Amino acid sequence: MDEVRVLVVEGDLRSRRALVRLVDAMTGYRVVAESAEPCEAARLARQHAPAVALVDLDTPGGLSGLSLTRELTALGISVVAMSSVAHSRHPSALAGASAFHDKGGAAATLPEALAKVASEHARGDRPAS
Amino acid sequence: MASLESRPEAGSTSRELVALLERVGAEVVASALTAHPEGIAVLDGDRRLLWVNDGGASILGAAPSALIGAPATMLVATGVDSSGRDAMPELELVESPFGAPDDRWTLVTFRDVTVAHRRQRQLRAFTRAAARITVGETLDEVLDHLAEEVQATTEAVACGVVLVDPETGAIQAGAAGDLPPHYAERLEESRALGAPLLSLKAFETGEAQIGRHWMRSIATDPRFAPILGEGDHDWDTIVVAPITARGRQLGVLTASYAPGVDPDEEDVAFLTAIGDQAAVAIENTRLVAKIGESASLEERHRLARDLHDSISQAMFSLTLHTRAVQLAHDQEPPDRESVAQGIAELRELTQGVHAEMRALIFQLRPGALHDEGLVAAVTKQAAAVAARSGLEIEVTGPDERLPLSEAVEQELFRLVQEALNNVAKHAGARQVRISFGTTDAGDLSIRVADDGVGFDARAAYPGHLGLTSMAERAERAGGRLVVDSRPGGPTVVEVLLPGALPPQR
Repeated sequence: MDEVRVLVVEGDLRSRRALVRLVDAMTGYRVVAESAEPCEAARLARQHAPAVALVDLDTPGGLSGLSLTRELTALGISVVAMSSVAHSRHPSALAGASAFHDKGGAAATLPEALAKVASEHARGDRPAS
Repeated sequence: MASLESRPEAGSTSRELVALLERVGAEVVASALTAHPEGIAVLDGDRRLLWVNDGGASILGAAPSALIGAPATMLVATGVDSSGRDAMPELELVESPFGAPDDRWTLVTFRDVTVAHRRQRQLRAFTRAAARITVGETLDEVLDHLAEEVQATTEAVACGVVLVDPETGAIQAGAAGDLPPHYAERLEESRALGAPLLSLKAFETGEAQIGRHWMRSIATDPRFAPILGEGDHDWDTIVVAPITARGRQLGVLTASYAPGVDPDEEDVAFLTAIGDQAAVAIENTRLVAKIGESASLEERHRLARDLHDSISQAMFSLTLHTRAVQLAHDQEPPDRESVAQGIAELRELTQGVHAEMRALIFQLRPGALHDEGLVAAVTKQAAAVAARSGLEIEVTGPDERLPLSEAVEQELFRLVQEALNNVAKHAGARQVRISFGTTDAGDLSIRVADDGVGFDARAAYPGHLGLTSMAERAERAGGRLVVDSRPGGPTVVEVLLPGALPPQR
């Protein structure tokens, strides 16, 4: 099976490093690009064509995490939205995210969430591009 | 490779093996088997050892000649002796019978997995202990759980955790296993009698201590009577690891081992790592409790934001790294390099969390800023921001405490804090220099310079940079704010306070 290509967008340096390490530790997954900032992330997404993106909604910058989510899903990239603010769940779903991950309580189950979205993506159940 | 295919005897059936053996000679094969690092043995029909190689003999801890004729139970009984510990190495073995139906022999290959298993148990304990940190529990619960984890996953028969509150001096303890009730009080009693306690030594030196056959040496010492209490004990050797948060001793963790169990360097290193994790759990619990009881509403909002930016992100990262370590470890074979690297990163993160917690605790302590002075407070804050952002931050200032009023110190501290947060969040900088300048005339200046992307300082201040609030703080402190920046950087934010200090002659 081909590796699942993953884009990581996270503003906090330590969290970004940890996300990259975790995804790379998962068999069959590879981080193809990472960014601290949504504008750059959108450019990297076009360049590297990831299947799935982990997007931190709390990231500062010109483009918000939610707009980035809309932009990525429009490119056919499945998005796992992450936030420590629980009520970001609904807006992230509206923006097209395939899953929402609570950074506070559910951090340890992120690999399972990512795997679920990746397999849906592989089955063709992905955002309309 | 192509030449192999052309050899008629190459292949995987036993007939082909016989052909191969005949070609290279039985002696060559025999010496290869003898020198093989894993254990290889042949059992006869009565399941007695007929032959064992050097590797196998060294795993079983005897000379090959001494093992011949021994029953196979010697391999199979990875038994537990009366003292409750593994008396034999844990072996992983594969048996394959061969020979005629009425005279079955057995080929056994085996390897020592004692160390591998112990490492596995320790890693599980480590990841579980790390995961505990994210759970909001009371301090007593944290201590009890830590003691339980250590006892459940190491060979220790009992574990005690003792903490000394740095402010009140109060002792708090958690215990699991064969430790008497009121463990902390008993320790205190023995200490009062002048007992040379290893826990005290570990606490004072910050170094892990091993007391080999400790029970044997203290059993008849009346000074230890309060700890030992009445009745028999099933432990002998103890290891005491300090619980240290950035050079500050919080307490100790004591693991007791059954007679005959000899904890090694790796056990000590493991307990020390658990001690690090314990320190985070403890400081976090204290911090949360403190915010609840002592902060005003406005303070709480600000601290909640700070907590999100620093501790919550760090906890999120710790949890992810822990999962990554687990995944690397569960791979077949385990990716040892990634495990080691992951644990190293966990330790580094843990240290950073301590820096941030200290800065937050510092802000919570009433009068702390005035007690320690502005330069010390800014230095602490800088260490915290450096830990979370990866920025290199250098603080230079006078050694002596600046004689400023508490209100002015507060405004200036918040101003520098906001400036630093701006750099961390928006500047994309690598380095920050914070310098305090004084003149003999009593002028004070504080400069925050970064090598980031900068912005157009002549344009209206972008709202989110909070420059307006910083300028107001400067004014309230009796000074003014000067911002020098341009797109492409660098940026210098400086607050000038003429005559803020008594003039020097």
